[in-house]
Amino acid sequence: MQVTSSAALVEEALERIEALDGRLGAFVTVLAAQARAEAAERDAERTAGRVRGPLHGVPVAVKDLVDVAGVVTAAGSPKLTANRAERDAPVVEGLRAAGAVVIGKTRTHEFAYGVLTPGTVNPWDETRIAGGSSGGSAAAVAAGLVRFAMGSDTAGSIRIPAACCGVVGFKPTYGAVPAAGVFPLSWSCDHVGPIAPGVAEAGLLFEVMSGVSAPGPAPAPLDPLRVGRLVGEDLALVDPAVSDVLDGLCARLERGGARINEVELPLRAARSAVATIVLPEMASAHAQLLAATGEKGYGRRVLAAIRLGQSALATEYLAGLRYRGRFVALVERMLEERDALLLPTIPVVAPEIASHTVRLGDGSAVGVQVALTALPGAFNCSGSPVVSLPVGLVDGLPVGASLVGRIGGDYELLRVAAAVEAAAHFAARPVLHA
Amino acid sequence: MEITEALRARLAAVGMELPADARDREQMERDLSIHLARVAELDRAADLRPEDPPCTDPTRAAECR
Repeated sequence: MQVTSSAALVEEALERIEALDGRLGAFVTVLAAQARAEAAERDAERTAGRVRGPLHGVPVAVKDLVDVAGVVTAAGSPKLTANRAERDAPVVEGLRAAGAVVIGKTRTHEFAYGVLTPGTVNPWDETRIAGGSSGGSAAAVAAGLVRFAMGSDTAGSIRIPAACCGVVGFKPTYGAVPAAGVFPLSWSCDHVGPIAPGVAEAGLLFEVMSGVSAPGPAPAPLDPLRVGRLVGEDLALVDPAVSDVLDGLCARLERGGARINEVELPLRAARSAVATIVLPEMASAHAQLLAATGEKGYGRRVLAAIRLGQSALATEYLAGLRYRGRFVALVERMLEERDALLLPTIPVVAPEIASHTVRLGDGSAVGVQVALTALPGAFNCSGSPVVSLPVGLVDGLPVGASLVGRIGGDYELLRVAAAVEAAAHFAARPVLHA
Repeated sequence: MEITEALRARLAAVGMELPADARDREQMERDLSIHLARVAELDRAADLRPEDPPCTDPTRAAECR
């Protein structure tokens, strides 16, 4: 089998970044010289018969919330422009151990608290947001700048940009990928995971990031696949055109033999629980930085969230943590008789950059962050693994579907996602001209 | 006005004052309104009982209960 050299892979990625990223804004740091040197090392190792692992010589982009030795972790904030990491985060150590070449760092919304990722545009339509907070990673993958990128997700920050940009985003089970060396937003809701063009690549990157090998590559056959499609009042906010795409997907799955029934979960309550947890944890995570450097340099929304977190009541925080056990039990019970739950990742397609509000399916107009986190945020309460994958287009923009699996059942969920991906036949890509 | 007073009371309880900048204050008022609505939603839906302890790690929720 012909093996493309790491040098060639890195040059190809650097050329695309050079040609396109001036418009897309996916990267905040491109490590061209370092990546070329690492690629040369990987190629020399391969020539000498040493292959480190499944990502040997492959360029990977890292969200600028994650420490890479010798590189600034700015977390999207002017407050941290001198915050040079002394060592790799453990998850980056794992990437390097598997042979990956870190090609650069991707843009994040300020301190991962937001869904807009200002400075990054959507490769499908440059007047639209890429989503966030891992917007740079999703845009980089969608535009073909890299095939592998890392993200983090506290209320949907991997899945939202994946849905906006038409790529696969995987929020693994809570704790499956180490979050050390990743600037925290909320310790008990933060998840770290992969963004990639397809389920197989996302699974491969997850395998490296988690350090737990896949039990086997075989996709789940559709015939016995049992899916619970989420319905009910909390799904009323979904745009009818997005619902139609999910209807079409369900029809294809059923024709392939899958059994789909309708189920309900209290998504709004679970999303509320996440919000009551995130604010005080965020305030606590920022206490030292705020005390040392003051308010200057914080954006208005982030500072407001920190101040509200500082003044939140202990009973509000505890209510969120106490509801978690209840919601986990509901989700896990529902999955005892099903392989996955299915819902739209976000209720609408990627909003316009200039939009302050989003018109939802129930006629309400709400802030973009409230709208886009409404559905995915619930599963940061349960810690469940969730894959978002593109399944169709509305007005030329991708629609993401989310599959929710059992806690600890990451590979089982990825197999289901591979089967759904095959049924969806989504092959569209954004048209980009240098 | 009610939300301004609610914000003022919360901030005062931890030794802070309303932001001097009107746009900062409006942002906090909007966010506090959302926060209070979510707290109410949680309160309404959760029906928490003494046997529902706090859980910081969802993968250990079964042990929490």
